[in-house]
Amino acid sequence: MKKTLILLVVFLFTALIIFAAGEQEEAKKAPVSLKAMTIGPGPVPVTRARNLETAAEQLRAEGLDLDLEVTFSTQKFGPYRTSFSLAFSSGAAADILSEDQDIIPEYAEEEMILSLDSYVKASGWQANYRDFLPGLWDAVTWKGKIYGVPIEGVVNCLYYRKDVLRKLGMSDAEIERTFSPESKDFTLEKLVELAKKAKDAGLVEWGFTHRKGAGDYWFNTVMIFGGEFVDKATGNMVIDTVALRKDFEFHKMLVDDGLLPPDMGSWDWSVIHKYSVEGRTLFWIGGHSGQWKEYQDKAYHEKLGKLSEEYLQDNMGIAPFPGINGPVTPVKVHAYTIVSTTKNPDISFDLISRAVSPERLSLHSITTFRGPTRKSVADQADFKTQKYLSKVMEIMKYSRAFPKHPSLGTYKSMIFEAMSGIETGRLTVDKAVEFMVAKAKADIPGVIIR
Amino acid sequence: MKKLIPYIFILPLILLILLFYIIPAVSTFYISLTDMGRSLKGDFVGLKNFTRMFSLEDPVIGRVLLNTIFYLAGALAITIIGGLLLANATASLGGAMGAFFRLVWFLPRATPPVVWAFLWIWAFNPTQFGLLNMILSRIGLPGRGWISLYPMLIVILANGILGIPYTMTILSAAIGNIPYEIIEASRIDGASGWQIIIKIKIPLIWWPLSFLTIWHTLSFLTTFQYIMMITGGGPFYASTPLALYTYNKAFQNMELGYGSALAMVLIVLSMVIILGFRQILGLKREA
Repeated sequence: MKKTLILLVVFLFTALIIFAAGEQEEAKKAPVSLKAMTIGPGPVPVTRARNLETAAEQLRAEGLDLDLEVTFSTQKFGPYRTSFSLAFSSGAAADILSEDQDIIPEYAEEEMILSLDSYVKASGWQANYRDFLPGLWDAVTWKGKIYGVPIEGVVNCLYYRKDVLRKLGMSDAEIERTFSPESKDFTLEKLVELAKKAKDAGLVEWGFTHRKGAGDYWFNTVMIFGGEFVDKATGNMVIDTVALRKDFEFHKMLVDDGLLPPDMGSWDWSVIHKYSVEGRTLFWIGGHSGQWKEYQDKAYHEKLGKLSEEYLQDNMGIAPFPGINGPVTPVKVHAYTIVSTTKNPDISFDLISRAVSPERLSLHSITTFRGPTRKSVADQADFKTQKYLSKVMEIMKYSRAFPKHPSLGTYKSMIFEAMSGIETGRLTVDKAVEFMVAKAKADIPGVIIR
Repeated sequence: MKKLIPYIFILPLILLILLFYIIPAVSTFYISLTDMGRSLKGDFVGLKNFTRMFSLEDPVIGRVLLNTIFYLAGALAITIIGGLLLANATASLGGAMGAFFRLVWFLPRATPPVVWAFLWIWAFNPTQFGLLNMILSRIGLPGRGWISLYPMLIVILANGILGIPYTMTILSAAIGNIPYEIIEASRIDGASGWQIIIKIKIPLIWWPLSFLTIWHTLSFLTTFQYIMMITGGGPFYASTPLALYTYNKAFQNMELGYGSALAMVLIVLSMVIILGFRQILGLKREA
């Protein structure tokens, strides 16, 4: 009996050791599961997702058992962000999230994303850190901490029609000189003068067209007039009434002079782009560099359909905006962030780090025609052949990062409503400024009025 | 046990109302007392969201409430009067011809919302590519920026016309059920067509007419998708009713606390209107 008991104990003990060892072995072998949520909106920037997938393949090739599930949303930001909030609150959020810089303060304040300082500022990553274009880290920083790794800069710029300017008697050299950011002629006044000439000569229907709806364009024009958005000392939102007034007066002048349609807010997007590609407007001021690609992919031009690179190079040009304090290229950064609920922050950062390699960012830039975020992208063989993208990089010298604040969406809606009121004659400039102040006081906590 | 049977039958309905109305309404009320934002976490702020609204600290809210009244009155008038007149006309035609016209008039309701909105956007497009401006151009007149000039009128028409088919269908069935002898007798007594509608038909279809009035009122108060697609609520809030403003605050600006307070006002407003209509339309059933 005693022998049997000893044998049983030995057997159980051995079984326990074997079982524990097996579990340990299994734990070693367990794959790392990561989820990533990326967004277009629209289908063009799909490399935001694909670069993560190819980076994961690279990690797998190096021996990491990584199971990555990447979703790419073509929805608008509203539903994308709602999906993320719901997933986060139910504990089912992805590990990696691609987002625009403007939401970073809100997610950082709510502790929904991780500070990446310990990774980005680590000595081993310094060469990478310094390779990113100056100012872009600022776009993903909130209250002194970095929360994202820039994938691209959506470069907001001025599109002008070379063909119309030629018909006005300007030579190619003259056009080049006029739209050179360093030229003394490159001013808002000069743009207005050219628009008037083109309109009076019957070459265009409108001198200027801008976007519809509450979008980033409304920050551009405040930046052009030297406006501020956020108080550096307190981090509170600022209503810069001086810049706003100048911005409102500029748009009102354009409408009053017949250079800007009074009802642009109700134009359909396809009509807005049709006017741009058919040269019905001299300046398309509501766009970004990526639309160069869109004009090659979508048939906005009634006769020519999809435009060729040659046609665009020959008939259209891009430039920064001539601001009152010098040229301004408003840049909005899209970045990879790491969600605070992730169980694998180190692997997530490693994956992101590889997804933003110069080769992958070059591919992303060529696919989307958006601004690259690293200097070394310019050295990539495939990038060097891109004439247009070289121009984009050139105007990125005048980059000014978009503002960041949790109430930015509210601000954007307010300024769009005020501007639509001015352009349609429902509001005077004074009333519009009064509205901005009153609405900001009601809707934006701690707002500073200047 | 026998006494319990009616309650057992009504239980599924009560559960559905609890699940899809009472619980969301209570949750909305709770959120309206917080400053909930994008993270879906919120601190209790008492009645702050309501005082922000009622003290008119929000400079837009007065305008939004006025818009709601105009929009509701306009769209309701088109839907009910248009539906009643069409129901009367198609019922008078009778037979295959009546059915054909009812079918034609039902097309707007069968059209997908995006297509319906697109038709309106295209028709009133302010450039030379809009339908109305194309027509004006053909007769030598300059085009107009229709949507920015008449945004409220356009959203009233787009929504009001869309309500007509449903009203017409219900009312034409109700008119069809009026005994022919009554209409015939009134004709023999010398009543005009208009008098027959006002004095005979409307009183006899009062119940379905009242139901449709209440149903469409609630529908117009709470739906906004066509407005969002056609005018976006602008320019400068000119076509923003309370439901769209609530949506924008809650889901565009992610001010869920304030958005919920606005939604609570919408719920209370709907209930007040239902009770008001019950009184005005005399909908209390005699025991």
